[in-house]
Amino acid sequence: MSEQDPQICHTFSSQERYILINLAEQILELLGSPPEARDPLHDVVGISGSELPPEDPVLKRLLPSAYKEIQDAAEFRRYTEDALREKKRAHAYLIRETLIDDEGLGDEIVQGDKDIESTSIRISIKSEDAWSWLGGLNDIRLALAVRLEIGGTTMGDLPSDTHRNDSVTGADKASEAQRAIHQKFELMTDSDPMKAVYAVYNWLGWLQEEFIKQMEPEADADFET
Amino acid sequence: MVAETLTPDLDEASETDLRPDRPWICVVWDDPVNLMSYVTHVFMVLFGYSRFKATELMLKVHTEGKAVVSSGTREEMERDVSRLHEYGLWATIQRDDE
Repeated sequence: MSEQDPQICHTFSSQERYILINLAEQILELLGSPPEARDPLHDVVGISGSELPPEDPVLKRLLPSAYKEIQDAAEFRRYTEDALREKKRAHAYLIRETLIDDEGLGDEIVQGDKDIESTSIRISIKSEDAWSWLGGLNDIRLALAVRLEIGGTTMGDLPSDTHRNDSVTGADKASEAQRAIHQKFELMTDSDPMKAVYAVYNWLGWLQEEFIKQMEPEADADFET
Repeated sequence: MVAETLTPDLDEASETDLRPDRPWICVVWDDPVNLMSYVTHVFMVLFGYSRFKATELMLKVHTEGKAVVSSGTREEMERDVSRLHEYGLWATIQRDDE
């Protein structure tokens, strides 16, 4: 990481800023508060106590099972889920903090009253924070995708071993499904709230690509070595 | 079709693994949400893979529904899976013989 800071710069309109802060807060709420209220012994040994996958389909996708075998998955979850929740909380919190910009570090572009709803902001993301941003944006996209049922209703459930044994039709089916999803939302009337959610989902995908492009020099350097 | 098989650390593995000669693998599954460019970058940054190798693995996930992205001891694979989960990829651990 030798490139100069900041690594990513981006201007968010007041509306984009408002939406993204709101989504990051929803992720934080979904992940729950830090485990400080729990038995301190649990924290000492890092055991969360939860062995079953979360029931909420979004959480189930954000905190997936690491093993197909139920017992192995339960044990792994018991020892690691708290740490994973904490990392995801940190990513969402960073996005929220950067955009709220309590400390006034961002280069705000004031268009009226200096509140979030009417103020666009130009942010600079340092290289050490770039991956937290990307991971946090990805969590939000995953959450929206579950709500939009983009992966069907079984996202987070492991497919069987026979899933897509024919690689060619597998790829074809995947892009066909993508087209069908796109068409479904395109055909919705503008008053349908899901159409707006889909627009935000697409925007976040564009934003992720944009950030990755700004990080490209590093990737190219890796390619040459 | 394992892209790269690392030699398992026998000393470490033998404490918990009754069959230390069989390495564990980390599998990434396809999902319709994660962007191809994002997945490629995650492979490059987490595993230090070249862009070529990371792209190859990403395409394998996309076209075949899954790909083995790393192999080694159970502890190493649990570490890899945790980091992949942190960045939202859908990954699992299993024995190499499954």
